[in-house]
Amino acid sequence: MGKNEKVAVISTGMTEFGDLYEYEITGIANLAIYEALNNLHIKKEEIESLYVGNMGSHLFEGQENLGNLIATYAGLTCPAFKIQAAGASGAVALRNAVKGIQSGSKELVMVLGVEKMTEATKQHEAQLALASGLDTNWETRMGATLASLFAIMARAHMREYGTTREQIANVVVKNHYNASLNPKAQYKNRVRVESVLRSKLLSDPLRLFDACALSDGAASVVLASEEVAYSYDSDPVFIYQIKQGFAPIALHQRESLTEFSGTKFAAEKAYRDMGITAADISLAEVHDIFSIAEIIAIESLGLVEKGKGGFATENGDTALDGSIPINTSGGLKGRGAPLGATGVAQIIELFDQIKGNAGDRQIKDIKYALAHSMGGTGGTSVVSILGR
Amino acid sequence: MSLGILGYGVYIPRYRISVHEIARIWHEDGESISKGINVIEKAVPAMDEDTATISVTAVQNALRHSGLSPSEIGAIYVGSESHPYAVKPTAVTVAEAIGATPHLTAADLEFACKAGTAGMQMVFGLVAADEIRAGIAVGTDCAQGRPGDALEYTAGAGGAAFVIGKNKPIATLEGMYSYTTDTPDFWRREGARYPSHAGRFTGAPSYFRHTLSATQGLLDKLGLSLNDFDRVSFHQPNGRFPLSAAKALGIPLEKIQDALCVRRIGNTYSASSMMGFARQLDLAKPGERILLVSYGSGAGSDAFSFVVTDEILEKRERSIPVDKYMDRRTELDYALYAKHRGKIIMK
Amino acid sequence: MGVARSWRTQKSRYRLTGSKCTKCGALYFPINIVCIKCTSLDLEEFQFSGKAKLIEWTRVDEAAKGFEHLVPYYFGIVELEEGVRISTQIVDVVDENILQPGLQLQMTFRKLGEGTEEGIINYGLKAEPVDW
Repeated sequence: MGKNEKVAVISTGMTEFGDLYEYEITGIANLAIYEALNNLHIKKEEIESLYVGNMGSHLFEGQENLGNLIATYAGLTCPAFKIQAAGASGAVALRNAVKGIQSGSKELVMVLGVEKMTEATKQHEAQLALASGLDTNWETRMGATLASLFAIMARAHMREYGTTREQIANVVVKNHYNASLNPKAQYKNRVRVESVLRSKLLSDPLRLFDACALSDGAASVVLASEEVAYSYDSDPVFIYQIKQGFAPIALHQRESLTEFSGTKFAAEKAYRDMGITAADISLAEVHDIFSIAEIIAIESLGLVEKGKGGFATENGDTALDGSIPINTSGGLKGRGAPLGATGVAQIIELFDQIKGNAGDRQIKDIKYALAHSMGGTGGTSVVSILGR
Repeated sequence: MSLGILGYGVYIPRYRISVHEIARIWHEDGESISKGINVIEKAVPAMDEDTATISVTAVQNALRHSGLSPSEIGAIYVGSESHPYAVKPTAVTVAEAIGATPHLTAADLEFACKAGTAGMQMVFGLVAADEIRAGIAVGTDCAQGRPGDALEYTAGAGGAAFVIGKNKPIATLEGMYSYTTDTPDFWRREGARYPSHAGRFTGAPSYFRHTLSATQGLLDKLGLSLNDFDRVSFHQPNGRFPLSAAKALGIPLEKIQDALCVRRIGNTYSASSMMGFARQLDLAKPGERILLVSYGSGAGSDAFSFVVTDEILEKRERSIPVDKYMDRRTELDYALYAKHRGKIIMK
Repeated sequence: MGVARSWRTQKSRYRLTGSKCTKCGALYFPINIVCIKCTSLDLEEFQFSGKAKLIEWTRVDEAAKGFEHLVPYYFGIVELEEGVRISTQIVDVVDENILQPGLQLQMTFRKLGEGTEEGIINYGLKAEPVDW
């Protein structure tokens, strides 16, 4: 990205995350869309394109053609379409929106991340929907669940680096604490290490509290070219980098079980293109779809030394007052994990932090902030770097 | 070039439930039942095993033992009364799994506990007629007994496969003879979950009449006497019947006792007499003559006479003996047994 | 699993048949029609031996759909002796202490998920510890 190609986030909108039984998917989409529009009195006709990030509307609700559906109910007549990349759907939508503006063909676009997961009231429906992001033929049909694959990573990490079960539980404790300070979070209750370790086993060593719960939610951001951004905001927040990294879809096809190679690739490229290092990152939102994923993510992003993610978490390095706060929003775990919305919600948290609007969880002296979103078990990774 | 068995292989699931444990559930005297039927425990399949999977592993073992490649197999017959499908052959799955498709014939056979030996007869016929160079007959069952019924103590699981051809057999076929009538001692109607049996009627007019008559018929046909045989395997619905049959024929215990797998794995139905035959082959020396007599309710017996050749020594290192599978055992209690046998209804 | 998919993947599922690139020798499981290493379309069927070693594993207490009746079951990543890795269940594990990386395994023919009463039965290979 050249220096004139940075793209601004000028407005945001987000529903609460959780059991939003009263609303259709179009309803939660409208809440997020209109909050973002009305914040800055942006007319809906000014939006040139709507990028919808969603993982499973087909599986959860039997609904596709989601871009058209949401645009219709929102009264938007611009081109609208859904982008699907499992848990990274929102982040990949965001990246394509950024590219749309960088191309010069658009100046003002909206990204909406949305997921309505509580339509699945049966455990196996939801489990199957989540597993659809894996290689269904050679993972799921062989007996894999999303939890089982992250459990394999957890075992490998514990074996290779001496990471302890308690350290992994500390990710959950921290993220619940952060969520307790976030008014829009799904789980505002604080938890203790012991409650994590006593929760129901999913796939040894991972337990129910290591996992994210089903959630409904929508999050939207309005993106603008640098030039247009200044007409709305004299001191805009910019997306300086947004890189996508690849790893094979199946865990067994990857070189390492203890690294997200696509994440590492995307982060290194982002740092290099920007001329910074991981040390310049003041805080990060990472894809903690399971507790262990946060540990591997912060290592792969270079925010902590490889193999030290568990120790860093235990030491409090990743807490709000630590050297590199991680998931100040509460993460997928605490804030909630409506999958397609998560990648956009991360950007909103960083936006609020950079703007100084993060309330009790505000981080001081932010240089750059990083968002990391992932699809499946790490096949798709998106890394964004934001700042003023 | 003489007609015979080129190789054989068995498979027995590793799980066991003892007669005592089953008796505990139904408040029966395990000690006296175990003694009465001369069975200690029976083999139970894993939750993901069925007649097709057991057949595949037995056939893989048999094929390796024979030294043949899958493309040399011209026929596969799977005899069982527990085929996974009511309509769709098990034999094609076996053929596909070992890589013998598509240039072969295959079919499933059903004749209570003698469907496996019926398959042997058919393959012998095809090879003798020079229609195929080699073929495989399998007898496999995952037998189900009605909970609490006498059959529950013996209904086991296992498979035995024989590769039949003409090139360097480990045992040559001397002759075969069958004795068949319509005798309703044991049956299962279409759609019924468990088989029914006619109690003591399964004895004298059924098992004994057919087993003894087939044996006598074979001896007459070949001009042999029982003294000419070194080893015997009869069908083993329990540990008593084959011994009683041997006694009635004047066969000494030492000639049949090596075949009595039933004591440790139960009645493997279509595999039962073939499993005993396989164990006799595991122990046999070249030149020994072996009598194999199956019995299938309904009813019929197939009798075979084999003479072991020097080839058996050459091929022995490629075989997995029956004892390896019998010794590999993990005991289940009745609750886990019920789970293994799908008796816990989950949906 | 649909009938066509089950049928189409049979060779790989039943027999561990994969592909070998005749140009660069790269091995693939399952069967592949293009060599993603050298872009060649000249691939031939390759038969993996079925010998494998354990890389990493877990015990699944919350099952995948169709596997509920097996709970708890063992699931892992194994490396075939030819160097290709696959995901598979590990069956007949009597003592989980033996499940250490490097454990020798053999692929064995089993039923995959339970499926429905009316549907087809899916078979495939799973890994079992070599205990003789």
